[in-house]
Amino acid sequence: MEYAMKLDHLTKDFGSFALKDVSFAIPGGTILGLIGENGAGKSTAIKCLLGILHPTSGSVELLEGEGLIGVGYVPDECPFSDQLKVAQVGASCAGMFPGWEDSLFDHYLSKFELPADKKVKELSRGMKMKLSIAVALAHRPKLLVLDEATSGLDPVVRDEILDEFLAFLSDEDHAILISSHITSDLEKICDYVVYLHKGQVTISGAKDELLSTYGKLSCSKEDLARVDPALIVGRREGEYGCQALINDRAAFQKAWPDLPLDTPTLEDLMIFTTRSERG
Amino acid sequence: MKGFLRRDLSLLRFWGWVCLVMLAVAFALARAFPRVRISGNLVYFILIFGMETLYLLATYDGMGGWLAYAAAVPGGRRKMVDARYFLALCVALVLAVVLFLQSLLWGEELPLWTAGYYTAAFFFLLSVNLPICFRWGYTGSGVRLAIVLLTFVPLGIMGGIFNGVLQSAQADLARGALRADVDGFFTALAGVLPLLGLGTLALSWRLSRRIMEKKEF
Repeated sequence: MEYAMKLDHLTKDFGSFALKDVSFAIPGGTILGLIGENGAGKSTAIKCLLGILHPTSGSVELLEGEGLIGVGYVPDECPFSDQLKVAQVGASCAGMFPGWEDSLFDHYLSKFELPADKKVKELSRGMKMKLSIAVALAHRPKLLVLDEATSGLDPVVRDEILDEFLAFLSDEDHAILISSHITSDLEKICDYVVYLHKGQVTISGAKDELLSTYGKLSCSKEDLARVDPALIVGRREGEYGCQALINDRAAFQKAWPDLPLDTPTLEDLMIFTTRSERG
Repeated sequence: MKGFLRRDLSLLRFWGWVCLVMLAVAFALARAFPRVRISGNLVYFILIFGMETLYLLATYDGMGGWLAYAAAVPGGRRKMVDARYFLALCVALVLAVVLFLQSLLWGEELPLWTAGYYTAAFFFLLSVNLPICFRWGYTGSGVRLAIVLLTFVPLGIMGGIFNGVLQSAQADLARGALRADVDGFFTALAGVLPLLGLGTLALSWRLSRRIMEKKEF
């Protein structure tokens, strides 16, 4: 499988907000992280991908034409009714997803320590998320789509879930699209990153490449004044000094070898890009 | 469709028991106190139970992002509608049987053909209500008001007019001013109306499928 999914010039216009000309693809065997602030359009992009929203223009290709059959979807909120028991959720989903395996669902229930006889309303947020993930994995999907699945969870549960995602990615036939505004999670596991800002792709590429292309500068105001503004993505000025995100680490180090650059985090990329716009 | 139907039935398990117990109590009361003549009111209870079953599911649908999730299930939009109409048909069947039983028990108050009329009325209610619930959900107060105005009010008016016609016909029959086979006419109509209702439900099903295909969540 070359690509697990492709979004091509996708546009979704709501009037007050629009997702504009979004294009990206997930190669097989990789994890793509969709980052962006709240309301940037991450969920809209995912909903267009899954057919929950109909795009205004552009196209979506899932699993080389296989469509939704090979997709496991985990939304930000547990979609199963509070009144249902965990076992009833499994029994219902068994009739919804081709390729469902009861034994696999039971395996994840015991792995995540989810009691089959408990009602969904009795589960904690972390347990509800684990239930959604168990359902998504129990029909052996090729592409796992997670929309803010780790938000609101404590670090221990988040780590456990992230490990599960890495285990899912056992071969080139599997891929993951994960959206989150908790960039530290994505930094741990992602191969590719797409940063959406106000409905548009602002930064995209291989995570390691991005983090090595950009640089984070911490210096005095005087030193920052010497730097070519074309290299500065955004800046943050404080009482004792300032920080700036540099868009071309190699060019910067050649021109100002005396100024040290740190490797930025994904959060730095987000914050400085947003700041540059605010001026 | 099986999975969606299973979900709906799981959600209705408690409600189903409530309906059964209420019906059993109502039947027992009607038998124990024949002079109170509650059997007529029981018909409305049964209709309301039937409709409430569907409203209950529409309310569950509107909670916790279920509809968006179901739309992302392979063929989910279509299967969701199919399962709901199949269930509605089953509820209508149960309702028809209960009404039939009622007529057998209280033939004087509720002639056999009333079972056909009320089943047709139920089909009419379903046909209008289900597309409304699929399009706008059942959580908004505006939707509930629209449902009352579009279905229960016209049905009540039609029922009132029909009742007036029926009583006058019965009075004419008693005076000998009407031919005796008028009862046959009502009986035949009771057979035709449910079939028309079923046809309306089929059209409504197609409409709901189109609504769900186009809907965004």
